Amino acid sequence: MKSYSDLLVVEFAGAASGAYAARLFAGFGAHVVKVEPPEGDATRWTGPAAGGSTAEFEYLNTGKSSLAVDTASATGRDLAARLCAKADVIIESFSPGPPAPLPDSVTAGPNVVRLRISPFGLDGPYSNYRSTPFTDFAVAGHMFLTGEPDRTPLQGAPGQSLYAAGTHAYIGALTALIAREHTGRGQDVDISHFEVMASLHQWTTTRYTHGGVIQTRAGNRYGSLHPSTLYECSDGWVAFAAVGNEPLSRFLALVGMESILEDERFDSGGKRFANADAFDAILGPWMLQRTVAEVVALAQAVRAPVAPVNDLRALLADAHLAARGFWERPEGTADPTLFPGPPFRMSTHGWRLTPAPAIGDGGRDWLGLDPVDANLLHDAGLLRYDA
Amino acid sequence: MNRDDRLPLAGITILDLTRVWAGPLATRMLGDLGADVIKIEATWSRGPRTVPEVDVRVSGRYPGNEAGERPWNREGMFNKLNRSKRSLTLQLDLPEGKAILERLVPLADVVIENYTPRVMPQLGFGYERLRELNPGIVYVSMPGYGWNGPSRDFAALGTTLEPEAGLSSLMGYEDTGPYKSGVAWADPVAAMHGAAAVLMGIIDREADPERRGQAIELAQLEGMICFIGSEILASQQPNQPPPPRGNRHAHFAPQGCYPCAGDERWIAITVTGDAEWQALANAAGLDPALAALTLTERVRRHAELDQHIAVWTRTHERDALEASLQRLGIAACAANDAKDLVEHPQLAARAFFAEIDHPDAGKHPFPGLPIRLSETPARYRRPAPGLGQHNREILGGLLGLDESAIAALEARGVIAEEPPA
Repeated sequence: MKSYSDLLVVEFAGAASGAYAARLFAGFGAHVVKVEPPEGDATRWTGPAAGGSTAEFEYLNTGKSSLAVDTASATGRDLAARLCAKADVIIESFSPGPPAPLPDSVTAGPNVVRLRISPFGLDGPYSNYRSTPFTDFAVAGHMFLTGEPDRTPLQGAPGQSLYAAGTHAYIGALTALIAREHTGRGQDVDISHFEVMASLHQWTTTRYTHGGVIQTRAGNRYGSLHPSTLYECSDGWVAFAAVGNEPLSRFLALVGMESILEDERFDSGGKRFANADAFDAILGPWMLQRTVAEVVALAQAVRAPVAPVNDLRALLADAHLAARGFWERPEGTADPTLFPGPPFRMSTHGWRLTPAPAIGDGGRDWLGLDPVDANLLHDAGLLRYDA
Repeated sequence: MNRDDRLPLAGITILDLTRVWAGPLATRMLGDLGADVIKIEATWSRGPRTVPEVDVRVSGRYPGNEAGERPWNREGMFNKLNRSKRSLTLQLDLPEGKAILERLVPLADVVIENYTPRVMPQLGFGYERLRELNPGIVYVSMPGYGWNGPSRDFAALGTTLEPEAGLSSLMGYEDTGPYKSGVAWADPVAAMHGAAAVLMGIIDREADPERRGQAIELAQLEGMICFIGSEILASQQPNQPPPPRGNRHAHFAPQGCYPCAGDERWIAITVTGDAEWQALANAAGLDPALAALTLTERVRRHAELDQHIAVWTRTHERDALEASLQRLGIAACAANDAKDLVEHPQLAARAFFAEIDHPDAGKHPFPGLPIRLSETPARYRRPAPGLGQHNREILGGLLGLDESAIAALEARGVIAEEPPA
């Protein structure tokens, strides 16, 4: 089987989901060329800047090179096709809206794995509908569950559908590369934000199809058991999930409050959920008098799952992550910005974190062009790079 | 040719020691794609023989809200997460259980678990031992915090990892503290990473002339943080505004979740440009002066615009409004509930829900795998296994144990097809 580090991935991604799938390939050491228009990918400019371009662009495009051509022109398409002919994986994602059709003459090949990522999928009545991560969160049923029961449904953290769809596309590509070993052929992989997000519920549709229950919002409480919630402490918040009787009784015994569980309103997770306001009226004030660090240390001493609710500043200063060397700076830059490390760690792969490419940086090396031809294309505005 | 040979991951055997949600979802994805997933379960892992009626009713996860004769085989979330797998019960705290696992590891390609890092060595199956038994084994370990660091042995759940990873600090109303997602979001995120890690390990082994496996460390906290990388980078830039609250967007406006006609009917709208805003404002019959607002002005007057939009949406039926706004090119989607999802026309058109018939639980629609391969599509080959359903098939067929040996294991409580009394 072809070595992972010899794979060539070509990305035509106007949307973050495709860029993130390609970024996973690049991070683990495959060759990734991002094909962007001569004026640059739109995500270079939209949003708060980090270094030369936006934080989103810098994060999603580390480890890649760039080929800047206009795929609306015949010459641009020829150049893209020349690159695609060498590709193992081609990634198309455009959002909002379905993938802008690149002609098969550019992207199709018998051995290529073609990822096609779109908001709603390549067919069906919604295939031309537009979406953003915000509307993805809504349409797939997550927003309805998030927030207070008597208030407006609430969005999740930004961009989650894009990362989830991108990671599913990556899984699909790896699967198709394995299948290629026994079929001898590539194939297309159709990934939609909607289906990905709809597949990631815990028991939402199951409770409906089995018990006829339509789950609603429960604030920071959860499901049908308590306490799995956030509590406010003297200096911040904790996520408290000692939901079963055992970890909860160990924790309450440690802090001298074990008598709570003798109250018949509180002697099971389900009853505590039904009487959660009364339960929190006892535990809540106790929490307010302790620091986050105290509560976490007490709980983890008896193996109760309790963690600090970190803001991003606290996260960047977290001792555990620092000890593990999770935060990294891109190689060869003076920029002090810290990036997250890999989502998992392998002994066969480092984590490539070279800075996101400048427009046209490095990608044309894959075209095998005569330097004179490259210059002509460059001067004609058909191939952009810093000469 | 075996039909399963068409499945993309046919021929890959996974010993699945995972529990709850994150791990089982990872292996279900791989099972749907054709891997032979052997779910190794303690005999007590699905709970006791009987479930109190109140728990059945409150959970809503038993078919028809009835525990039935074998409740341990009827719980809906388990059955959702464990289709396309085989079940082997095994008490790994007993020497006979360990001996069987020792014989299975050489026949497998993958061992995956989601314990804290101290558990596998305690059971006698740390990576060094697994590698002795099978140098080609791909071992994927998915603890909350990783193999080292001060929080290494801390207990974690998806509901603690999402807030710890910083996501909750980016969520909440204008006048409140942090919020969690409606699902334990860190769990399915870890599942995706677990599935990817298995496949990466297989690819590396197949490319290695010596076919060496490896141990892969998946710290669920770190994988979750990767899902807010852009926000982490942005937060380190000078003079950053605080993250938006409520349903606001960092740079588009307006964005919101607005009430529609009826009870708990909502529509989510993001206006991504001036043309979309003008179209929305005209459709809502707003003052032309409002329709002409630039992005900067829309951000500044967001609360006022939200009110105007909500007054208008409240008089409209949600699904019709979704269709008409989409026709105008506006990203507008219903905030669907569970029933809406099960009946959704787009999901129906693409047959997203799979009707799966289970001998103890009956026939129900379950979410499918959202990875659609054109040549080697996933298939839902079998319903979730009953507890120990494949004990004989695996111990007899794969390991060649005879019936008396299997009966002896049963008598010792090493394996079972019912929870212990």
